[in-house]
Amino acid sequence: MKAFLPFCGALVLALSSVAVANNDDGLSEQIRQLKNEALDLNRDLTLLERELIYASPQTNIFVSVDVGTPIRLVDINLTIDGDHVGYHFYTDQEFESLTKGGIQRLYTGNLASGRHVLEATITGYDPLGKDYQKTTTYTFTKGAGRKMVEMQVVDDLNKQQHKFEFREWNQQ
Amino acid sequence: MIPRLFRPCLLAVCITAGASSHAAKVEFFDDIDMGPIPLGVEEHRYLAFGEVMFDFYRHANFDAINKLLVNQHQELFNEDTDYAELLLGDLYVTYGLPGNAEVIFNRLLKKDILSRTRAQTWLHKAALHYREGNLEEAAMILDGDNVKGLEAADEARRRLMLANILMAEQDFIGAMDYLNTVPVDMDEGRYATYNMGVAMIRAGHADDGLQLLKSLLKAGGNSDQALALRDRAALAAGLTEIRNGNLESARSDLRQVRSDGPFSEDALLALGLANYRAGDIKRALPLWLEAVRRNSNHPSVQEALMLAPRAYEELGGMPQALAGYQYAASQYRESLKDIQRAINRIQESGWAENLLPEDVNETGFLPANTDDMAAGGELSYLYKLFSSNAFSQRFEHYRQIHQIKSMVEHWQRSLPAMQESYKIQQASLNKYLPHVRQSVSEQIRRQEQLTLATDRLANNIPNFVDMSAPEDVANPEQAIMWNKVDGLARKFGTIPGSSHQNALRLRRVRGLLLWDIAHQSVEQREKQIQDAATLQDENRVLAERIAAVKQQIRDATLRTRDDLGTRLASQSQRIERIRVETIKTLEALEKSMQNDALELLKSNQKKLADQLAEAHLSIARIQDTSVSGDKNQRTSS
Repeated sequence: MKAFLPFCGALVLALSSVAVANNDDGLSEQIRQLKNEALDLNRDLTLLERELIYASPQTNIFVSVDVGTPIRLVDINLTIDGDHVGYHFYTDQEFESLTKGGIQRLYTGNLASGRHVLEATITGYDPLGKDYQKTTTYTFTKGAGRKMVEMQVVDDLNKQQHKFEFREWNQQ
Repeated sequence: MIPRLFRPCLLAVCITAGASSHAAKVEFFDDIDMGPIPLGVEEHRYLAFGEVMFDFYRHANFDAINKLLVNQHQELFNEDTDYAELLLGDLYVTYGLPGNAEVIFNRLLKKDILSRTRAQTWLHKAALHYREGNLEEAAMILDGDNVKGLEAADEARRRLMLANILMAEQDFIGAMDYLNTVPVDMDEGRYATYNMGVAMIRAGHADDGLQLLKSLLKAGGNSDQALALRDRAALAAGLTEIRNGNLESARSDLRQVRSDGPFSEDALLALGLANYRAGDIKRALPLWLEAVRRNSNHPSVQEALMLAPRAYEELGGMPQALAGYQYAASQYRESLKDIQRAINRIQESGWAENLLPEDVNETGFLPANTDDMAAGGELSYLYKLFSSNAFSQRFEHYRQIHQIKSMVEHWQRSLPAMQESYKIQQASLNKYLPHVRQSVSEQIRRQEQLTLATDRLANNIPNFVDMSAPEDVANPEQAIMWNKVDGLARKFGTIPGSSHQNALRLRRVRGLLLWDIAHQSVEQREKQIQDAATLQDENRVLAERIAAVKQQIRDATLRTRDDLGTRLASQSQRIERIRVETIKTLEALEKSMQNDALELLKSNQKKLADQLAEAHLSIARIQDTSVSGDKNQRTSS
């Protein structure tokens, strides 16, 4: 890895200097065309897949955190009605994405209509690096339309740990 | 930390290009009360854009673009969502699709948008021109009024771009004006200062250039990149001082290069040269001997391999010089073998694929798997190539096209499963739908009856206690007892034992029971009201479930009549065509990278062959001198 470092610097030096347009016998154009086609294909297949799998309105659970939080979210475990439906371990980059306003979709699925109990367990590090675990439950009712639940992992400034807040939307 | 209360009102959307960042604040919607509410378009956008930002900040640019395009197709994001448009444009630039980006930027600029968004859009457009080498157009935008009002990070980026453009035009005074305001505690500021210093030295302004390079030696930053750049600046300053004949300054600068840093071999060679030029060969020799002990594939070490024995020669140590030249020759032969091995490895197919990082979202344009290359010595020779702008851009394209290949292969594997799944869905729906349709009507009727009964019950419960009907406010045990006592009282006189004494006893029991019922009647009535409310609530959930089933029946009916199967089948050929194109493009890119690598290695091979020849000549020269010296000795004796 040490051998790799000078190249990083050298690269930034190279990139900070002015780029020159390539003359490469149409390869650049071929690449651009292929990228466009790939983006279109991926978009169309994503839409088809959604249409196939979620013919009925689905339920989505989202996770977000406080912008700029000093408390580190390590992982999250999600169950719905006692069934394990999601687990995510956050890399530094992913956690940073959340702290900058990103929202992660942790679960998408076809839930039966009616009442459901969501249970989330998070592991986190407080600002002093001490680890802790917290669990919360939340009950929601799935109706005819799509259901969106946002689980906000927010700072509990008194305890220097996380707490949960939920927001819920129904789409008809 | 931003207080929770304010966060839903404002999502700071930071749209970055590469390492630099600039932010646009997008207001979504006001704070929301807890509890389920209808999903409005702004709330939906908030969630969808949040997801895009999650991908964007974790550098999953392909996923971020895909989400934006999918949402665009579903008309969630449209031409009115400037923030999504701007981000898509930025992502297109990063993804190497400048044409698509320009269309978006031009469209945004024609619209009546917020002044800050407008300024950001102009900055993006300028960055696009800059990236494509259209410096004049970039400079016109960056120096104009359109980019006024940018946020601090964007402003720094603007100044850096302008400084680089002016540097390229050798307008160093103009470039300095912009560069002075970019702090050297930022990576971008440090690199720009280094570039400026080197550019000025190359253009003949050695004193000013040296001043800039030396300012970096005192700059902060403890990251690996910052330390490597400081070493590099010290080395560049030292080499310039040697060239200018300021040997003491050169030695002072070169001593600041870390002995275990990535430029230590170059610094050892240069410091030796500074001592040598100062006539201090004895102090040059240990430095070169130290360099010789390092990786012999490093160009500076290869230089030192010849310089060390030359220094011995000048100091009169002929046996050591001879041994040194012989050692140099053996090392050059080994390095030549290493180069040949590297050439063979590069010519093998799959060379470029081996350079890819394991994590598809890993940032950086450089080959990731460098450890094996470093062990084989290949890395030392390809260093220049890997750090060149042209190669890094090509490698980035290779990485992105490889990612596309993986994506296409994923869809190719998934498509048959999707088609099969569709068939199973169709068969299952055709089998069960008629029965479900039939029975759901009965369920709807039952649920409606239940609703009526529940409402009637709830409405009939008075919100006061009426002891004229004690059984209505009695608990189950009291109600049973009341029925017995009341029954006895009604039939009293007709049953055996209807004595006056028993009548008094029965009245006392009845009175006590009434008192007992009355005592808890308020609590019992409240419980009844609460139970009725719970029943109504349960019934509401049942009504929602019925509505959901009706919706599912409608969806299922549509599914049995839709053309999804045909649409899925039509993707097969498209996927295969793109897969073939992907393979061809990857081959073309690999060939192009291989050619560059081979060209560089062959030039190194030639240089090494020359050095080997020189080492052999030096060996021969010393041996000749030694033989003629012996002859002279024998002749004279």
